[in-house]
Amino acid sequence: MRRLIRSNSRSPRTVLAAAWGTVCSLIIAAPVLSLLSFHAASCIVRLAFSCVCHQIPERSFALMACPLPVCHRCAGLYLGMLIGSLFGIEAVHRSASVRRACILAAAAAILLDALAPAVGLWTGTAAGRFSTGLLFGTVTSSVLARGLAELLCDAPRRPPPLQTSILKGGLQ
Amino acid sequence: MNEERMLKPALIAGVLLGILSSLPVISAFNCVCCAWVIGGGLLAAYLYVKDSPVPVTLGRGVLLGLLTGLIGSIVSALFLIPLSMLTGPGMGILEQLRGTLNQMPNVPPETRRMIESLYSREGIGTAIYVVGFIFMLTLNLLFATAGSTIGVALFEKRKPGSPSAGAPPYEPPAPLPPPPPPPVENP
Repeated sequence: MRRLIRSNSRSPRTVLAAAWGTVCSLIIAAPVLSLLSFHAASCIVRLAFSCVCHQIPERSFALMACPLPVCHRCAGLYLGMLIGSLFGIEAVHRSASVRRACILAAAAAILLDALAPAVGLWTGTAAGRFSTGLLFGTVTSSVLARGLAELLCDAPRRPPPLQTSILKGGLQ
Repeated sequence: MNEERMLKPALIAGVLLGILSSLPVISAFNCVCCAWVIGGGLLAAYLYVKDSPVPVTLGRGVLLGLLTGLIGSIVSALFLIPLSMLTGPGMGILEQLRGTLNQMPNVPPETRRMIESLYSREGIGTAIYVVGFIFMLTLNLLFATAGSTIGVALFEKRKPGSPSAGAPPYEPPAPLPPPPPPPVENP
């Protein structure tokens, strides 16, 4: 079963990588379009991301002095999602308890980094925000890729409808 | 069988996700890594795992997340229609646009005016609404699926081959009495 999932996990990883790759390209596209004077197009991309990110320029990376449409943490999260779907970290799936521990550790890191500055324990840094987002994104995407592979592995094992109806008819 | 069980948790979580993501102030929590969307996926996974008599696989979590994200996006879109009618068509978007333009450096004033006049046109609100819905649907599907899958990984503690919770425990059949000895034939 594990071998079957491993061999089938490349295509769902490709689908996920394409999806997250598109999101990452849009993030890079916003400042590039602005620098190329396509301000209206850049504005549409920024508006689209405004519903999922606060977009504070001081908390965002900049490309040639033009800020990205997402903050440090979101940039790390989206990049992590892309990395996790591209490379699919197998160590996360060693066992169910290891997977659970990895998810909890990544979630704890991102929550601690987000909440501690709000409480006043420490002032967060761009590197901290980016790296915790990257870690959470990578772990989450790796689990998501495994789930998609399992879903595709499950599908052919379902009984075909014809067989089921014959069985039902036979029982009646 | 499991697909039917999936609908109830997906509906509960999807409706909550949609409402919370569209309410004016509360929706700002989505700025923390799509927290409402991931939270919706987690809630759906928790409800599904709790009610499922058999261990839930990550694959089922993916399916559940897709359903939750889809329901959440539809509910959110339905909620945004009366809200945009209350604030006036495109009014919120124009305010947002001005804020976005202020963030962008080196935008010439004439370009700024041109973009603002473009967004003030009749019917542009509907176009933005449709494009926004497609973008929101994509992100909701991705993040709700991520939330639901990690939810299954967190909440499902039964092993895949373990017996179902609702079914009675397996009892081995009672041992059969030994067969009677073969009749001895007298020569």
